[in-house]
Parts: sequence; structure tokens; C-alpha cells
Amino acid sequence: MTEPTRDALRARLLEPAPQRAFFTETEFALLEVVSSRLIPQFHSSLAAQVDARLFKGEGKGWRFDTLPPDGEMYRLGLRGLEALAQTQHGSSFTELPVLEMDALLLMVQRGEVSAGVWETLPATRFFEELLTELTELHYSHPFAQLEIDYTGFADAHGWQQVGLNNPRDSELEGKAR
Amino acid sequence: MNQSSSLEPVDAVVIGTGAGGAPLLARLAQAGLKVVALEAGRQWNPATDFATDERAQAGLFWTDERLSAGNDPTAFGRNNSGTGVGGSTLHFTAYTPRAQPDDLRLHTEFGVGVDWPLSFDDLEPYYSQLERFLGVSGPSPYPWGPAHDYPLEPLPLNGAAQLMQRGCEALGIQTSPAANAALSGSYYAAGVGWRAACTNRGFCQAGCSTGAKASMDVTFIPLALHHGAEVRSGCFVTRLETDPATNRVTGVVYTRDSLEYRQPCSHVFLCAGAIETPRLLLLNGLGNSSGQVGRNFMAHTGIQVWGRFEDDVHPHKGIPGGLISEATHRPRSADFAGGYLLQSIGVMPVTYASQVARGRGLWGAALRDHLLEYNHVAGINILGECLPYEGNYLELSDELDARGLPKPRVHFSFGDNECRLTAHAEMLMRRIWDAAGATDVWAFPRSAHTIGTCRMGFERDEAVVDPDGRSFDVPNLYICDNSVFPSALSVNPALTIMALSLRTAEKFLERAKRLEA
Repeated sequence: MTEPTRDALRARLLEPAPQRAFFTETEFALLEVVSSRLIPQFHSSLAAQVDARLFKGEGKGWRFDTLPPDGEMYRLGLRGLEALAQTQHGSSFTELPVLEMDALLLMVQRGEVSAGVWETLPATRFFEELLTELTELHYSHPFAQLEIDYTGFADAHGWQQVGLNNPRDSELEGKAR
Repeated sequence: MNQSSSLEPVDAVVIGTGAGGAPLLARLAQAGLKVVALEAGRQWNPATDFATDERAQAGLFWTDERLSAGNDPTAFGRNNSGTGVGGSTLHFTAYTPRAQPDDLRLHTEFGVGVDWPLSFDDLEPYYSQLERFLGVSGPSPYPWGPAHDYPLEPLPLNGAAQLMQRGCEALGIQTSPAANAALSGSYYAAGVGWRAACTNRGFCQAGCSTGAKASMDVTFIPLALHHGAEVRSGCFVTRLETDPATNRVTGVVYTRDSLEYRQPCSHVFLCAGAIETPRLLLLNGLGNSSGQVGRNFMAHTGIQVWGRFEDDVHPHKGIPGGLISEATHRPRSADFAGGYLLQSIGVMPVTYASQVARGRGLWGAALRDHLLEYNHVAGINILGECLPYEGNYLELSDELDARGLPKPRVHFSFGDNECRLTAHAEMLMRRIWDAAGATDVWAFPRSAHTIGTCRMGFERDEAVVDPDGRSFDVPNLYICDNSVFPSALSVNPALTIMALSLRTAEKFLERAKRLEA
């Protein structure tokens, strides 16, 4: 592995999750639960990473014109989810059985919500942004990359054999496991 | 903001150091001009800054927020917008096919869009020069368009390329190893020195750590420096100062580390890309007597089709776009204007996961199960024509960014032509994957590149710059980047941007010589 790659992966593995700084305690707890439904096997708090990004005001260089700025989008979307849990089940989202949580998340993903927050926040776009960000954060983690047998970080020498069905790949995968 | 340090005057300021700015910067320096390039991003050191890790490389992308409007909002950031000395070539995939002659005559051929105010013959000498200087690897002869050779052998085909080859062979579709601006052997260029061969690391889109990919920071920028140009990184241009009497630009105002500087100059070359170039002109109310600044925004139709294979693919290895077909350049069965090319695509893991989330909406166990097959996926994508439409344009919004400047809003919707072309291509790519033995085939519709917004043309009331790249309104302002493209072309734009850059420099120098005489 080259030095820059090792440094990047080591930092991600060892750095403690950032302290909550953007969301309220309630919002943060809800996002933790939501992320555990979308990405059940996460290795470090995805909510904490989203929080840190929003606190720093970083973005990906664009946003859908129909959505408000990222921080506001997250706050509105989380409020909308909580309201949905209350109207559908008379309970807080975080206290619902997981199957009920998933059903509500699916309603948002499919845009089958229209009251309250969802009158102005396009539900499917919100869900798309939420899921995409959590997915990117998760698959940036070295453990998630190991799980899918990704070996690209072994980058010191590049690759001599790049074609299909190269026995060396299985060897590397074995080591990675 | 009234206090700004004024600097020694120079002959020319070049704004932006990507495919549009870097080649002409080198040419102007070679001609003996005192030139300064202003680059908003930083100077990277590929060997120490470029990790083989997508997240660590996020700094290569332009992240000042843009608002994406319309029915098919186009993605910016890592999709098409780089930052740093070298611009978007830092993260381009190194595809360097030439445009074909008929690409420049869309209106003549189909009665839609517009023709370019120059011909293939005007570009051809620059294509040849570029392929030799950059060290393009590709087949000799290249099987489509006017015959030409490449200085280096093609790069090895990765898994995705071999699978696309398998599928196309079964269907009788001609393919070829692609032309890529990454070195299949070590290569020497005067003024640059030796660059080492590609190690097939596969991270072209996240920055090449070895210098094998011909991004501007390892090719034209070193050449420009060798000939005395100065490159200032971290400089964000906010104003072009003009003399009201002559309407000429007299200086360029920029901020660096929160301090404001004024760089007096005789000429300005605006090469900031199809978003920042029109944005700067609109902010300054400059060069827009035609009303065309920001208009005619185009983005290539770029649908991808992914499949799962029994074979081990390891899609992160090798040049991502190893195989090409231009058999669909002007398909006989087309019910649309223009055409497209097909490219095999390898993919880095986070990019693939992100597209699965966005494109398929998989989550929970379904997402995990899908990603467990990462080493068995391969893709094909197209790069297809996109027509200019009245409703596709860039404007300044009333939302301010962190610099206190209005964020650009870009309206983009595919028209009927793009939808028909995309449907044609999706059906064909699905057939190719079926023939290659794919399962779980899925399509990810997208658009690629930022094109148009400062159209080049013959008439001052219809275009922003003339065929030499010179502003019709501001006599010492030249524009060179993908914003001047009158039509999108059915090929990747980088090589053509560089060709225009060399041509713009040459036309400028010829004009200067004429005026002197």
C-alpha cells in the first residue's frame, strides 16, 4: 500500500466518531435509527459523519433545486418522518417495531406521503439524498470494502493482470478475508 | 473590498488551468509572452496527495454549490467539475476520441442544433499534435473517422472491456481498444521530460498518482512553466475590470487567502469551464450583447447499463474505459438526430455503491447483497449527442454561496431527441449484456459533461465568441473551454477542448503579429 492510501484508511479506522454539533439530540437519535435501517451493518456512526459534514457546511458541489440546503433538508425530512410515525402509529419513530419503521421509510421513498413537511419537501428526492449519502459513507469504511472483497487499496505496484478471471485476485481476496 | 494590492502588468491572464486553459498557457509562454494563470484550486502533488481511496480524493472536485433544476437535473461535483492546477483533467477518465467531421455539421445533416463555425480540417492538426504530446494510447489505425495512428499501443483490456467485447462479438458490433490519454509505455515529451507507464491502478477518476494519465498538471502546465509562465493556485477571480472608453479588460481582480489582488493585463483568456465562465461574465455584466451567455447548456446523454457476471471482473482495475465502439455514431435504425459511442466501464467501489443507492434505491439487506457482488459487475455507457434548447440554461440565483456570490442555477431537461437516443442505446446495451451472459441487468440514466453557455459562432447577435474564441464585445477577452462548443459532439470533449485551446492561442498570436505589422 502507498503511504497516502495507508494514511487515509488508518485515519478512518482509528479516528473517534465526531461529537454531535449540528443536529439536536432528538434529531440525532432519529437519524441514528434511520441509518441503522438503511445500512444495518455500519461500522462507525453514519449519523455522526453526516452531522460533522453539515456542521462544517461541506457539500458535494450541487443540489436539486427543488430541495432546500442540505442541513435544512435533513431537519425537515427527519421532522416529517417523526410526524408520520405519530399520525400513523401514535408513537415516536424510534420506538416503533423495525417492520413499521421500514414501512414508513418505504412510504417516503415512494413519495406516498403528502401532509405536513412533505407538502414542500419532495419525499423521494429527500430519501434519495439520504440513502446516497449514508451508502457512500458506509462503503468508504475499510471494513465495508473488505466485506465486498475490494482490494484496490493494495496500490503500491498497480496491477499486472487486469483481465477476467485472474487467479491472483482470488489469492488477494483470501488474504483480505 | 476596496483595498486591493495591484501587481506588475502582464501580457495575458489565463483564468483556469484545465483542458481549456493549460494548452494555450503553454503556447503563449512559448511565444515569449509574460503570462500568469489563475487557478481557484490548489496545487496537488500526485505522489503524496493522491490516495487510492475515493473519499480521501473528494478534494479534487469543485464543491461550491450549484443548483440543478429542470426535469433531468444534472449532477456537478465529481460528475464533471474538478478543482486544482489541472482542472477537471485531474479526474477525467482519460478518454480522448476525436470528434468526427460530421459531428461539427449537425444542422447541415439533420436540420437541428447548429453547425460549428469551423471544420474538422481546422481541428485535425491540433488533434495530431495533442496525441503526440500527451502520449495517447490507442489502436493504429483507429477504425472510425478519418484514418489516424496513435503514438502508443492500446492499454490492456480490463474485465469490463473483455465482457463488452464478448457481447458485441456475438451481435456483430465492431469494437476496438479505446484511445486513452494514459501511457501504455514510458514516454518523453520536450519541455516535460519522461513520464512512466500506467500501472493499471484504475483510479483515473480520483487522480492519477503516477503521472501516467495526461492530466494538465503533468503535461501542459510543466511545459508552460518551462517556458516562463507563472501559475498561481488558490486564486478565485471575482471581477474583470474594463475601461469604459475602449470596452477592453484592464485587469483581473481575484481573492487569495481572503486578500484581494488586482492583476493588470493586456489580454484575458477565460477558461473556467461551462459553469464558472458564464457565471463570471454574468456577475460582471460583460460580453453579453448577444444575450447568449449562459444559454444553450448541454450535457451528454450518458446512460449506463450494468450487469452481473459469473466471471471475476474486479472492476476497479485498469483503465476504466478500455473498449470503445463508434458503430453507433450514425445508426441506421436511428429515429433521432446525431448518434453516440459505446464505452466499457470499470468502476470504483464507492462510486458504484452510490449509483446503486441513487439509481436502484436499494437499502438494508438488498443493498448489502447487491454490493457483495461488486467483483462481478461490469458496465457499458454511452456518450451521446445533446441538442441545445431554449429551456436549458444557466442563470444566477438569489442564493449566495460561502464566497458571498450568487450560486448558479442550471436548468436541464432532456428533449425528445435525447429520450429517443437514450432508449435506442439502452436497448442495444441490454442486448450486448444479454449476449455476454449478464444477469441482474439495470440501467442508470445520467448526463455527463457541461457544454455550451458561451457559444462560438459567426454572428455577433447569435454567439458570444467568434470562431477564434474572441469575444464579440470585449476585444481583448478570449474564451476557451467547453462553454464555446456550439454543439455537444457525440464524443468525450477533453481532446477537442485542448485542440480549441491550441487553436485559440495560434489565432491570437497570428492576430498580434498582424497588428504589429
